[in-house]
Amino acid sequence: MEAVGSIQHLRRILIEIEGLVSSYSLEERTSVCQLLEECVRKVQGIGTDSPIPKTLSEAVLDRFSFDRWRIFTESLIGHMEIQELSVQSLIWSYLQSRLQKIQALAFLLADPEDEAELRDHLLYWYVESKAEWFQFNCRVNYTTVRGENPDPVLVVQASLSSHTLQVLEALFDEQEITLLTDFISAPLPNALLLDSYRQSNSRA
Amino acid sequence: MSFVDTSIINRPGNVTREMADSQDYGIVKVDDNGNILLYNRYEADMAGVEPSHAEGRSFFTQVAPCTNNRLFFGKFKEGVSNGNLNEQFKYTFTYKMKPTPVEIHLYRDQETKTNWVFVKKAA
Repeated sequence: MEAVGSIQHLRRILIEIEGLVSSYSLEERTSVCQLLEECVRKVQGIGTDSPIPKTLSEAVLDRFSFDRWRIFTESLIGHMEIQELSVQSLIWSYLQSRLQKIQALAFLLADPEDEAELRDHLLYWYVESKAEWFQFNCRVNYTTVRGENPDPVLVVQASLSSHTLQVLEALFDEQEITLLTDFISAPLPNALLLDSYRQSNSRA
Repeated sequence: MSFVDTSIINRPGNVTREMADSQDYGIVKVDDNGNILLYNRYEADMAGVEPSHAEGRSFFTQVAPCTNNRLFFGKFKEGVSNGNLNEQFKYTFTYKMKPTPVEIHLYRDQETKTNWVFVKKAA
């Protein structure tokens, strides 16, 4: 039996509220969730000198819990009107594999002494997710520009990748996000000096 | 045929923030490098990015990285370079928003040397 006001109790309420606002837009729902999370932290902090300590690992496990992403993913599937169960299962498999990967890291690096290492891995995860999203976005829009409808699974995968970035950004500070954005936005060939290599190679 | 109001497409130099905010489609004014000079209310609501956060940043790499490819940014750069940017095409936004099919109109006004990205949700 969970205690009223316990983290489990508040988390369950949070999930119920997330369900209630599932018809809202993603941006509105994200804002509501962030507000609710703040409320939970404030409630938990009442009567103590400092906020309830929450490790980075706990924060990652919380933000990448299947319950949170289930609601979000269901809303995407509904939005894209994907009815076929076999197609839905492709999306759930993709989601599970993504979540398991980051959860495994957060479980393994749960010791506060490992926090710096976990933070580094979140950066790798961010870069990986953004690179993956670039590829999904490319496939979706090269199809769109041809006047064809992009594969809805691909569109949902793009949204899930993009949402990963949004969730991760809440764990970074503004400057980290700017540096990451600049890094990943610079064309990879430029970063690897491949452009100049190719130019000199084509002249040869 | 563009979805952009003729009073805007014919005289983009006269577009004020108030006028831009009253339109039912996205209006983004960018400099030749793609840095945002004006970001209207519709675009802000659709993308979930406040104008104060968007303006001053690169549209193509920082605010709407889904446009950072040859299809979108490439057309923009080519059109600005040639001075004849006037491209319309369909696109799908997936970055930090629910998947949203849109129509895009990229336009450069040679008289005022201003560049515009117009965005309308597809019907």
